Amino acid sequence: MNKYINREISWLAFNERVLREATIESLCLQDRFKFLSIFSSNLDEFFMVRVGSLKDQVNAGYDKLDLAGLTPSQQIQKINECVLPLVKEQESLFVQTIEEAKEVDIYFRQIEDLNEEQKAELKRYFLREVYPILTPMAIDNRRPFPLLANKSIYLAVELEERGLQRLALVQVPQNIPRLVSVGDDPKKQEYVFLEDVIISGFDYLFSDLVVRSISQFRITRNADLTIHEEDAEDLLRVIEASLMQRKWGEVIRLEMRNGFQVDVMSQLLRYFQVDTGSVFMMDCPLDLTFCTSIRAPQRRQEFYSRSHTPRKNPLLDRKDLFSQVRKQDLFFHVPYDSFEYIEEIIRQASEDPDVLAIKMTLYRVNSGSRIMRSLVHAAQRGKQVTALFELKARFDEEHNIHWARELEKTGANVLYGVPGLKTHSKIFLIVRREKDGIRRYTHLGTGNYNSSTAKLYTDMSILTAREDIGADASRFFNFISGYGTSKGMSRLFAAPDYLRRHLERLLENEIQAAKQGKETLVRIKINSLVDQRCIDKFYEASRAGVRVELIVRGICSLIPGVEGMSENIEVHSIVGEFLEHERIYYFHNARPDALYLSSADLMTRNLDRRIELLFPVVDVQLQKRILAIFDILWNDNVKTWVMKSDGTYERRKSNDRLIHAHEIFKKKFSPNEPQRLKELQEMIR
Amino acid sequence: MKDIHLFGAIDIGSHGVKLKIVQWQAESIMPLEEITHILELGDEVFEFGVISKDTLDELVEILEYFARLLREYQVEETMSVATAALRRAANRELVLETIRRKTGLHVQIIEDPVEKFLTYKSMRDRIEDFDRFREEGTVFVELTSSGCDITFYRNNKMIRNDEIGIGSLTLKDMLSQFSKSSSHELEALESYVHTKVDYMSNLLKKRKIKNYMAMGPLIYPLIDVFFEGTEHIRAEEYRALYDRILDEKTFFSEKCLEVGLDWQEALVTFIFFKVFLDIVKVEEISFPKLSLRDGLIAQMIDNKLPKADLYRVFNEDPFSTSYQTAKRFGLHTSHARHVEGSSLRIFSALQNEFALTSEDERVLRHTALLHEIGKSLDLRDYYYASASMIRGMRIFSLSTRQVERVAGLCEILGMMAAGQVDVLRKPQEDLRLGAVLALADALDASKDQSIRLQDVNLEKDTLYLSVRVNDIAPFIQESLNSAETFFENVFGLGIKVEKRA
Repeated sequence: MNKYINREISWLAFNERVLREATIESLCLQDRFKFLSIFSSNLDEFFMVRVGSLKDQVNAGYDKLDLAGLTPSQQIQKINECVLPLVKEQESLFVQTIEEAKEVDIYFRQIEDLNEEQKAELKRYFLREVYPILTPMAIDNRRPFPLLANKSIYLAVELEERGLQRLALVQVPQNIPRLVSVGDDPKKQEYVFLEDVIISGFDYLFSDLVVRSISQFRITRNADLTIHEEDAEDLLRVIEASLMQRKWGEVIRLEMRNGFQVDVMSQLLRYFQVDTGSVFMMDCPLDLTFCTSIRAPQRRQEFYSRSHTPRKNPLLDRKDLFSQVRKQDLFFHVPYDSFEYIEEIIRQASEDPDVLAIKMTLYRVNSGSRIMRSLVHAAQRGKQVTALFELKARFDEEHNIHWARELEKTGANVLYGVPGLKTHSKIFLIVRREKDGIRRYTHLGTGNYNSSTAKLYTDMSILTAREDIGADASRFFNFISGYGTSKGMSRLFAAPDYLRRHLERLLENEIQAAKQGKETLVRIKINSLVDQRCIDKFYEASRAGVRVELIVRGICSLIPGVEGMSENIEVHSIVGEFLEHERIYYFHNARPDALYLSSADLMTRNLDRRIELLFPVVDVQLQKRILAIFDILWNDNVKTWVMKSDGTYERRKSNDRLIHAHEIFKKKFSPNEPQRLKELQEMIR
Repeated sequence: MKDIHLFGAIDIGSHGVKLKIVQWQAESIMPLEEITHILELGDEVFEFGVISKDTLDELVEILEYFARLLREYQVEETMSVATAALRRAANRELVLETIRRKTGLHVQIIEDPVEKFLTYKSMRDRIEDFDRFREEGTVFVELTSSGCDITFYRNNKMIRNDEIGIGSLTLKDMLSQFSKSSSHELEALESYVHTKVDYMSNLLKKRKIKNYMAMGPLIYPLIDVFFEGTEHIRAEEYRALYDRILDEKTFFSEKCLEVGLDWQEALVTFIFFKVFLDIVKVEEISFPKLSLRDGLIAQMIDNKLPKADLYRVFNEDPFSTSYQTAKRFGLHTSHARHVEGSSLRIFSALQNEFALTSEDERVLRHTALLHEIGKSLDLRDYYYASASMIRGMRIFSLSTRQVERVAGLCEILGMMAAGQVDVLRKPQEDLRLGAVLALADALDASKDQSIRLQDVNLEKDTLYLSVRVNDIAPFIQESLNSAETFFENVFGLGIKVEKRA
């Protein structure tokens, strides 16, 4: 029996869990549409990055076996086998969901079903908004095949001109809403797909030609960027160049709407050089990511999910967050707690005459970032601002480059990372001159400084004025600035040099404790578990009798519950309204610190090829709170899936008392109210 | 920030460029920044004699970052120094000028004895029970790529500071030679080191050493690799590792290569410290991380708060080593001490009026202690002999220029004693110290310390010396007369000796 699960198959199992959310009838339609959309966007990224990488390996003749003993081409084959039924399931769920949507008066119409007035309205819309930006591309032997955009839908149109067959391509524009609203009945929401609107306007596009057939397709390109940083004189330029390249990378997947003309299909297969295994025939509209934009008429409540408003913390006097931090470490659990406090402390720092310096790592920055505006303001006020932008943050490079340039204009110290290592840590440091000397305020988190994702991803962070952590933070910033090393830090552990070593030491300590007959417990919550060394150490811990509780949202290559190997390991996965994103590490026998948070997952890339941070939760009250949060997550029986020893997952069976972690955190878990802990712990019991 | 001071120290060394920023408050030092950036200036200068353009660019880039941090914390005082590599670089002036122009940092090149003095001064802030170590017999052995420094303390005093001209590079070279001719090259190297430190080993054995401190940029990474960076190792553990290396050299080399260490240099370093372990026969080796940066910070604190006199014992160390040197030459050190005391009194009375500096004071004291060492060579012209001997010596804490001043002062004393008028052509700053010393020396011309200088006062154009004495012998009066004349010629002041019974 293989000891590991292939990471791609495990990821697909995760995406299947996402898809399963769309089957829950008790969920409102908006959420079910949302999960259909997420399934699609996840799958797009998976093909672009993971399958792209595997294709690269195949093309390079690399045939090393993965953990599960598969070659890259075997993995691609397995992926295609797994994806097809999932996509078919998504299709039928979509059809089922739009059928149910009629109950709240949402309708998806064909053009021919519209009344004359609606048709006229659509024509006007087409001529005003769509037609001006359409550019049909003729395909023939005299000119090179046009470069087609990644993830864009195209219409392949067979035309006849004076008895000659021709082929033209029309891109469905990405800058116009995919769903076009028609009709003026306020009680109904009627939609027509943009591609249908375009087809209805073909008379204008191909006025002298006869349209013989229309086929819809969509391509996904390889986006696995491999930047040879050592060779790059200017990393920024390389990234920009790579962004250009990404649009025109190798075609990895070809999705076609059923009804495709065989001749056209074979022509496209030839142009894109894809094999039939990479072609997916769809019975429903291509690219279901539009599902998040579906709206109900008159804001019908039964369609919508209840919106969540992050909690304000009355204890945090926004006039002076620094004084609060001096009193005690502050803990933030987004999206339940408001991300505004993090933004606010940076804003206060930018205004504060006593603040000397602000240093920050930025991985994914949102476009209208308050934090970035505050950093620009701070630099303009003459404070020493250092910002490290990770330009290799996949798919977010453009935002990062924009903000990096804005900040550079102010004279701030803008860094672009350590060559060869992606900077994934989430940390900021504020150096402040106070009446009793220099004080450093350090914020350490598991998630990005991004107010948009902070509403959707669950993350934890701590703001502290502890001097030992501040000193380590300074050392860390020197290291990522390219001066000095990460050696010598006492409370923080940085990858790639020390994080893995420390985690292994903590696990070993637990193993030794088990051998001495002590009570042991390891509780870890991460997004992915892929690293072989870590998995083997968990197996070793299990064999030694250490109880290991793992909450792994996504990929998990470890197989739990196998006698003689992993019978003391249990793996859960939570998929729900928010994307589980906190990384929590707890080792029962570790001293002085038993509980840590981190930016790192247990993936080889995180531990060996990235700059990550593992940091302790020093405050005893906060330790209790975070462990209580873990308790609730571990006991969740609404959104939890349990991994079985064959590597598959099953939804956790609910007992008579439902424990829904996300709902508990939204309603009950008020910050800085330790008395709530007791109540929650009681509830779990 | 009341009574809080921020200090910055930059050390441009042979193996790296280092920065430390600290906050000083109520006698406690809180480090704010500590960076070591590897830059092998030493290798480049050793090979080519100069610092190349590329290396200079890198050095400037690092220093720009340091300067940025200094501005960030609004550090009030910074000392930036460079040591052996820059000192030896033929283009050092260009390097210093470029650094100043591009970073605003004024880097001062310091010499070895000054570096050592500052480094040991940091002991007060870096070793918790430093006074115990100073009190008990403690030897500090530091190995660098170019040399070895041995210092020992007893009775709260630095007794000796010696340099031995073998560094790790020489040892590595020797190892390579031995390996060509013998399969027991490690044992051969061990014997070689024993031979080189032989004279010192007898001395150490006699001194009953209780504590053995190993230092230097080469030993610390080794301790990190093989002993997880601990600060104390049992002697048997160290020996056990040595025995293992003898049996299994590849294990050692592989471990070193894993962390990017030059394993041959690491090996000779390991053997070198093992030889001393055999000599001092203690049960434990300690690895105190004293650094020049901490020494610079100690110096700045000392300068900023002179009244606190926090580093008094360390500031006295250079004089106790000079005193011990004088003693080693078989002198009546009580005369030297007497001259030191009297000259300091006279110096204090003149200091403000004539803007005498703290460097003047140190040069004066060393001269007072060493001015007669030439007697071991030449009893008649011993001042000149002393000057000649001093020029060949390394005086702990003094630069070559300052050592030259000490030698020059001995010559001034010799010229004055011989009545040479040419003496007045010497630099004014040295003549003044010479005149002070001549007066102090004359007061103890009998060498029996029978005349005690009790008080010195400068009033208008006269320096009043109040001495406790029953009667001044004629030969002493004669010496005093010529010293007074010389003094008047140098300072333009009259001397009035007031005798008290």
